[in-house]
Amino acid sequence: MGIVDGEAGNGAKILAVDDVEAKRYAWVKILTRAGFHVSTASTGKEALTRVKENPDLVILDVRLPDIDGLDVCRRIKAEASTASIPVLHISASLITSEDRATALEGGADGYLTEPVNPEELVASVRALLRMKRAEEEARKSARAWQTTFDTIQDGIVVVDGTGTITRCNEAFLALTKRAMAGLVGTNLRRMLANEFKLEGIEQFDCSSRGRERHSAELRWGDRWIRLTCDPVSNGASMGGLIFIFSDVTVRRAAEEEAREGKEQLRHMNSTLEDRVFERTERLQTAVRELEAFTYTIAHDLRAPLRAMHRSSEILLEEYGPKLDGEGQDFARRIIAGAEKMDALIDDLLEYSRLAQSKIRLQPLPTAQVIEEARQSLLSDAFLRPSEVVLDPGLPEVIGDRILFQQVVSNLLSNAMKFVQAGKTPHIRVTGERQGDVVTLSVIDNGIGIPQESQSRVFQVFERLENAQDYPGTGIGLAIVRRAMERMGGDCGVESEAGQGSRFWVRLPSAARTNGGRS
Amino acid sequence: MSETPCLLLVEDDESDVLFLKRAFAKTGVKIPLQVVENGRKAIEYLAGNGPYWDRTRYPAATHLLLDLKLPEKSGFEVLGWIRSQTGLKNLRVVILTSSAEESDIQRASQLGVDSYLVKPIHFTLLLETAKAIDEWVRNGRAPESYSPSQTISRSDL
Repeated sequence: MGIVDGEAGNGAKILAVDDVEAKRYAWVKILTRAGFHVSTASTGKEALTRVKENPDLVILDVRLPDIDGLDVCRRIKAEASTASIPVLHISASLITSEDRATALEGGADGYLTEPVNPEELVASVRALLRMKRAEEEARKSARAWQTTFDTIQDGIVVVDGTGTITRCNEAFLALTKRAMAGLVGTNLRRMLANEFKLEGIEQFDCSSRGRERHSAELRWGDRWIRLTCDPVSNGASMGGLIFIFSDVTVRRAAEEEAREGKEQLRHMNSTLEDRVFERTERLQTAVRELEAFTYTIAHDLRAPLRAMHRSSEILLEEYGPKLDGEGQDFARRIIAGAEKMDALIDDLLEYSRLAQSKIRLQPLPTAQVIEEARQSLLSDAFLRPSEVVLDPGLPEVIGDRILFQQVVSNLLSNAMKFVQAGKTPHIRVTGERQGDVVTLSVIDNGIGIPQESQSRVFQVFERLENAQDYPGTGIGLAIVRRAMERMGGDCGVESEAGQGSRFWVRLPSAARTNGGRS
Repeated sequence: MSETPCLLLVEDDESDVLFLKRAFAKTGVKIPLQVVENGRKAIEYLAGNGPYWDRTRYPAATHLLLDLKLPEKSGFEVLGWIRSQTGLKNLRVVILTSSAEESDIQRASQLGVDSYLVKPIHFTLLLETAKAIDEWVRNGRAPESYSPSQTISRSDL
């Protein structure tokens, strides 16, 4: 007999209720053998007590001595905690179909008439247990589904084939600020178009004709919503549609920002060249203006100087005899003043030209350039006859020939000028190469420079000495510094008041580019 | 006519005109000298326009002593115009200016001048200049041009 094996009772608990002990014994025997745990009750009252132990199924004799079996069943079904327990009625033979209907209406889940075949009993019990389990599963999954449905952040609406809302989740209620009751039964598209002014909703086919997923981003007030519509497959036929409302406002804002940033960057890139060009243009204009200014100085300031100088010369030359000593002295002062100013203009022009002139860096024969500079100074009446000694084998440097000669000339003329009255200037030029750098020094026996003034001597118009005693414009060393900077070198001074000075300049060594010759 | 030399001086600074005339007088230079004070008049003179049609009063110039910075039309404009005139092919030009700018020297040289002189501040040096100009006008030997290597300045502290 197949009741022993096959699907086991799974340890399900069954309460068997019958007032006849022999029958109770038979139920216990049959069901235990089928793998169930069986407990029994002999009266309706006892059954109602024991059913609280929560059996999985109750076998209930219709005719009980105290309470009618149908009534017991009704009470079990009426009580919430026991309502889900299946009840299998068993009644004596000769029962009418009317009785059977009454029993089922009272909530019984099954009905067997005696004599009960053991196999039929076990099969019925199993069928009812299966049903119960299926119902429980369904309830559980429905609960789980609703919870999930409501947990989803996106608004979800289910509509039927006519576009009428049948379900929606909490998120959709929050989005519309409506109660569930006010939404279910409403036409979704009409509501969105009329009440929420959702632009673009018309592109969504809210009837069951839409059979494919459709998706679009729509403006919902000040927010952006991605609306996705999916048909619900109801087996073979298309049931309704599911609408999902995702709030994409933040993402849209970020995208917008990124797009604007990109656009701005693109714009900046495309205008960068223009802006560089424009600035260069402006800079060039400024340089041209400066050049024009310099040019004007060169021409216009010199004309009155020539008039002063030449007039005074002629005055002295041709009218000198008519002037006394003092008158001649004044004429000479005009000449000296004009000459000083002429030199000043020369130096200022030279200084400003230094910033703009093109330079050509090349290896220079140091000794030769220094000698040329010395020669050019010989005709200068302001300079004292001097003794200039060049150390043998001065290392060659890399520089611009014109600038370098100017530097040397300025340093030599300084050394020749700033010497105590009555003393012959002794000047020595030395050179030293250290690695890639050559240091050239112009050492004099002049008046020296006090420590505290040494940092100022390379600035424009810095004159440390009384202009009466020593001639000059105060620009010479500024020219030296600027020229050295332009050639990528530097300069400095070491001195003590009354002890002479050592002016030094540093330039890259030419030996390096000559293949390491030292 | 072209055999008779005539020097046209284009100079707006009255003093400079005076000094040059005096330098000529001092050094005994006797070349015919005409003076105009701006670039426009220089072109008019050379073209023989306006008052300058009268070549007995204003003889055609054979030599031009040209300043660069001039009112109305600059020396370079005058020079450019001269180079466009086939009738002035034989006109000799020397620049006499206060500009020692490399760019001016280069530009003048490209426009084919005989010499580029920088106005000296010393009257004694101007006497030398006067002699050199006389030599140029009478014997065609151009004065030695100013060269930038002379610019080693008398700078000092």
